[in-house]
Amino acid sequence: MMRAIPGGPFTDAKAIPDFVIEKMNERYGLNDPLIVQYGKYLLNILRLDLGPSYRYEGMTVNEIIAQSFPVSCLVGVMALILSLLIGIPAGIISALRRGKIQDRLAMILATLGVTIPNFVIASSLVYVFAWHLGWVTVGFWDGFSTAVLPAVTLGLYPAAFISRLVRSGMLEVLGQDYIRTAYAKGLSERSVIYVHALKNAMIPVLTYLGPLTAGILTGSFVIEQVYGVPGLGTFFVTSITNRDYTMIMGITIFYSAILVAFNMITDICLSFVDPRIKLR
Amino acid sequence: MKKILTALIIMLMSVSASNAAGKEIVYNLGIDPQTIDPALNTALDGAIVDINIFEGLLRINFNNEPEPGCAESWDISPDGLKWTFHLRENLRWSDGKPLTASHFRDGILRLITPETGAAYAYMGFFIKNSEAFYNGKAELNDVGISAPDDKTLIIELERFNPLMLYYMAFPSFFPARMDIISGNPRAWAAKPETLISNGPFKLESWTHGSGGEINIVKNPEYWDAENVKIDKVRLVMIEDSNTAYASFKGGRIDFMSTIPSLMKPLLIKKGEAEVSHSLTVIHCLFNVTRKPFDDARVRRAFSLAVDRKILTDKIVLGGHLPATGAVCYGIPGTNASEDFRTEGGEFISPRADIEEARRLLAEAGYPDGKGFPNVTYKYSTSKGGKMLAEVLQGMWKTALGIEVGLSNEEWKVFLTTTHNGDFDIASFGWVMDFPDAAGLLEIFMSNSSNNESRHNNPEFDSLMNSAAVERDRVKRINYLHEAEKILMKDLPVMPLYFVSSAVMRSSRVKGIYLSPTDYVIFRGAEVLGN
Repeated sequence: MMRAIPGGPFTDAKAIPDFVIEKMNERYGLNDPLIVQYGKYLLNILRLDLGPSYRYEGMTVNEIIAQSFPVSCLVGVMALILSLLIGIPAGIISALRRGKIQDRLAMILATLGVTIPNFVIASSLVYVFAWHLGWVTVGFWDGFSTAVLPAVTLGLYPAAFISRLVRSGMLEVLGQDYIRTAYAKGLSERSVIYVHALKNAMIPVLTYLGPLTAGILTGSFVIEQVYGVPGLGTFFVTSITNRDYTMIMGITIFYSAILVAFNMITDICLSFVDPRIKLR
Repeated sequence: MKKILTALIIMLMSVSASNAAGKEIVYNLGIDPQTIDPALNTALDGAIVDINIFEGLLRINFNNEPEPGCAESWDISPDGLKWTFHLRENLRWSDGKPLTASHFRDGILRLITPETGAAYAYMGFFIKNSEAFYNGKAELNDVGISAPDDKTLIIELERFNPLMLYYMAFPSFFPARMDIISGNPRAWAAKPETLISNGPFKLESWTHGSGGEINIVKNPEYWDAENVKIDKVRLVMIEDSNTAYASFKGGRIDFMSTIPSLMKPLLIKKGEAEVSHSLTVIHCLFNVTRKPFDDARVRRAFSLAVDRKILTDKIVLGGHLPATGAVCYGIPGTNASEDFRTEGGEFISPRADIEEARRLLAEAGYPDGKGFPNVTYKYSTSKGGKMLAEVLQGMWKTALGIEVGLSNEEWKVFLTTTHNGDFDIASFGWVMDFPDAAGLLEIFMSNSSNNESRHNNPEFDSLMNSAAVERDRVKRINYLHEAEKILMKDLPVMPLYFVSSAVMRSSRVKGIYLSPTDYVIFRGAEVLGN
């Protein structure tokens, strides 16, 4: 499919003479029949070698991932922690104060968090914190301090989403018999909520966390572009416009591997939390 | 996971260490270069890095002219076909090893060796037997480059090259360390450990992608190191112009050309951004082999219908100039102090001439646009490209009564389809590598691989061929003037505007040179009050 798009890695505004293109394709083995190229590629994958990048001369796809994934990972982990720290308490509070002002407020915020596109949030944060206040660097990577704004931006959507999941999960659980039993046995509200109810209310959140973690750790194109974060998301998108065939494949494979891994981890965790699921 | 954690820690530590550097300049390169291997690079971003970390026999001075670089002098044979360059004493690479004439020979031979896969290999074909060697019809020893001793490089030419000195300052002709490159022909230029250079700076680190950066530090082994006044340049890669602007305003960036396009006019007016002519043109191409644009009258009518003054004043903002010919300003004419464009005169009025356009269209058989076939204007996907396309569409509609369809294509698709001649009208931009009119005009020679409009005029070709080998400067430039006249009569290309570069420079730095070819040169830069 990639090869069906017109243009190739060496297509350039200043047309390179055809005999030179020929030599360049030869050097990268792009003249072999597609099936041969594919076979060679699969063999290399088995050796965990994702091949050389066509766009970044001299770098392998492995090296690019090794360089950019830690950055995406740092921003992602911060965003994830943030989204859990905001999402879960907000969900609990709004479930307990159902229909009251706290609930309304939390849900309005959650709706906003889900609906406002992240480039709007990102641009606004850049405008306030980088330009007017001059507190943070945007545009290039200065380590932890540059990771804060992207993490906040990246974390708002999942935070909003998680709070809604927790709220509906809690509401469902709170109506169940065993909660009434727990209250009847004279347990304090705190222990009912945090020990008995929350555990079951968290099941939908856990299910959502698997794909979310995989997605968030591998970076976001928009956020990386706006803040200038050297993460993996950008490579995923630009590799297509660059016709960087090995990079497109490599990152797809890497992303799939992470997604599968986190889904598995989620399933395993669920088996501990949810007695209805058993590991065989 | 352990590896990732280690990488994280290293990254955090390296950042805190880099903040401690002394006289440091931050420049927004904007794009992560594909390569900075001088033989392989063809892009401006890569060239900017190359000219700051390498140096050729000559270097570009702050008037965009070639001046002695690694070579302190040179002799030319009476027929102009043999050049002898004399290198400076005690030249060294950044690792301390001596730099000799044979390194220059190796660099040029590497360019024209087919296995290198250099896109600019053909630039070296003016050298004796190099084209034959590239095509396997001559031996390496037959190529006209020799280094009789460490200080002397002799280049024999196949045909006279009027831009010889500019070429010798161009990255494709930089020296090469084959002892390093042959061990790692692809990756040597991607890593600081193996990228040994000979220019004012050397590579310290390179991280990729949006938000990545290239760090170059002063090279103490450089022959002119005493005149390099800064320790380090951070070349950052912010693609988003709004982010770059916010960063500049926050005092994090010292020099950049990535200015949000809507803010340009205001910033220029307030004096916050400075404007200079760039050797870049934005034109339109007609496919002269397709009806109705095989008729020169139709092409002229389309050109006359466009008001270039409105275009530059109201649409494409940022100090650009209406194109009055094919070749832009900033190129020396027959008299070096005179501009080629001024000398050549005005072929196209900045204002539209609708009456004449209608007359020509009627004469071609389409009165008031009646019976005009469906035609499409093709451009590549971008915000600016779309706006320009819509404005042109509107101008053609009002002036000629013709509804031109618009079609946009992703960049590489666009390049491929226009290259294959699959278009009626297509947008066209060109950045010249040298301040020389031939750089643009030669595109329209019938045998040029860039001749997408399929222009074919033997008279034009012969003038260009004469210019290519003419030793007398005045005669040569007159050939080019004649050639431009023919081109503007044939109009396979419809000139639109000449691009100006706008840059923002913080007050804490001075001496950064931006050349008309958009090179940014740091060797003369200073950090004030530090």
